Amino acid sequence: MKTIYSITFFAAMLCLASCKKDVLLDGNESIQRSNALEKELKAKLHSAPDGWIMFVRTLNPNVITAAPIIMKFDTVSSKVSMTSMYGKDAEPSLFSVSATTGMPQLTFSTGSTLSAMYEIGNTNVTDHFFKVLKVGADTIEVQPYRKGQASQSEGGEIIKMVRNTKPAWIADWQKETTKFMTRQDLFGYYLSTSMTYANGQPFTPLRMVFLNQPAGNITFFKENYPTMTNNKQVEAFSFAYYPLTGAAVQPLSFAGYNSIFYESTTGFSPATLFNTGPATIMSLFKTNYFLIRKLNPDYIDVFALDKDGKEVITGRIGFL
Amino acid sequence: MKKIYLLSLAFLLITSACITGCKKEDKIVVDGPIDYTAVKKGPWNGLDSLTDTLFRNYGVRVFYEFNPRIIDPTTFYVPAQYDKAKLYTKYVVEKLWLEPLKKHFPRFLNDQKPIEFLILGTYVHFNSISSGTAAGAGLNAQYYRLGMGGADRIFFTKAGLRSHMNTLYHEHAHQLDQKFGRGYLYDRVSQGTYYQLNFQSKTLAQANADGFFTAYGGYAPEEDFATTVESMIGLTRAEVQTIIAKNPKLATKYEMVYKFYLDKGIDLHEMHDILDQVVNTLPL
Repeated sequence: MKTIYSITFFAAMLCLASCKKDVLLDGNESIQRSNALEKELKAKLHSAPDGWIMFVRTLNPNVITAAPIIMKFDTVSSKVSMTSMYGKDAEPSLFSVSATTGMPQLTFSTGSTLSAMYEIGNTNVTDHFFKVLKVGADTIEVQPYRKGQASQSEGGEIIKMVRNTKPAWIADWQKETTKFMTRQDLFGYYLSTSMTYANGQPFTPLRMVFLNQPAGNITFFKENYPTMTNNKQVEAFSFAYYPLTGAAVQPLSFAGYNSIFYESTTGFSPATLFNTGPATIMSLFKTNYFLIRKLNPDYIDVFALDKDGKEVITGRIGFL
Repeated sequence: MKKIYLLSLAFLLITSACITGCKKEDKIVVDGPIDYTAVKKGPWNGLDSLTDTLFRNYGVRVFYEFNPRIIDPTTFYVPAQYDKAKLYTKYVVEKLWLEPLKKHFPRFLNDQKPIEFLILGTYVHFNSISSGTAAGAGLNAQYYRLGMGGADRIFFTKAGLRSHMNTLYHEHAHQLDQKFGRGYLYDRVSQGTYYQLNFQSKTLAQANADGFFTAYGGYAPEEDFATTVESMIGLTRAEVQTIIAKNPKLATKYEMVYKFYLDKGIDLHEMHDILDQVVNTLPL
């Protein structure tokens, strides 16, 4: 009888031990979790009727500004329309939301302003897939999936998208209705510049000239140059620097939506037109773009923002 | 004896208690593989419907949107513009590639088609997005998928698309080459005479005289093979005959490639003529 008791006792212990529920890794929970994250992101993207603003920084170390891109997401049709210095309400492109790395991922999945920036290079947009790191009430933190080079580690620079609360600079930028390129009376002359920097740094006026690009170049850019193939509103010209002594710098420059900008890329040659030329102008003005506040009879009022949307450069270009 | 019965009884009771008592309540029911990386697609657009139709008709799935699951991290490219991807799918993939193959060379299509087709906006950069001109026309290293680059750049005109078909057959030739091997004998024909990177300074006439269809074909045996296919798709039979008469090595390699494709169910010379006809019917 004693044997039976002991067997029963051990068997009961065995039952208790074997009845311990295993903590299973439930795949369905993972899906629920990523679904929740995706849903949260989609709800946030959708909840901003005026869209989200992403400030894109160029990697030139002298540049103190960042260029705004206002993105309006339609989460029903998966389309995003962008307003930026590249164009106003540009032709919508597609985006998708997935959870490929356990966190939501925002992919700009067809050719767009952003894919052109990625292709041109030298900005912190180093991929067209973004990991979504944080979804807050008024900010969404995203990070390009790659750094743009095969040999580099995963993950680019963290970029903030802020809810568009209609800051004053948007109204300032969007009130001019005349297109800059139609102001040919400003082209082909020595122009002066005056710039005021919010950080107090001094500025020596630079002698600049607006030059038209040859027709053959324009045809080539429209067919091959990413900024122009992806942004139909962009026109090419040259924002050239004519120092009092020494050789002129005549970089490829662009006029978009109430904007003048230039970008350096190694994807095209000659370098003076595509790479070193634009980089020189960026270093001289500490910015890669100007938003146009007003086209006056003899000069244009311009300004530029930093990555927080603060106006850090205010200036004039023209017959001063 | 009684003791044994009791023991057996106790054992049975305990076993049944264990079996019933240990039933896990939250058993996971998995109906199929869990797709952790699924992309939730909203309502279909016109291109989604078109790619679905192509999949049903030909068994080839066209991709124009990408995520890290489709792309490997060392390949750099930019997605195609929607309009360009749509034109490309309609005219290149369907009208010029799949439809003529299904109609005229169904065995070749059935056996040799890649089941996935990627449409990229830029050409394919392998180390950095900004590698400039050092980029590939397509992705051809996986048998089951073919990717073509430059959809944002090609000209959607009759001439532009016809010329692009030569490139498409060139890339597909790389796939067949990797799949079956162009053969020991093929590599021996021009062995030792390949230009390697010096091809950049060779003229077409020089390349033909040296036994290659194009200067790039003289780069290495694999490009020799692919440019032969490209030339046969791009040139008439008579033009090809004129070129191969310039060097017996060219004639030998041409015969090998022509037969390689015939064995798989396609006559490249006929395909050239068919493409010339079909491209003229496109509403461009």
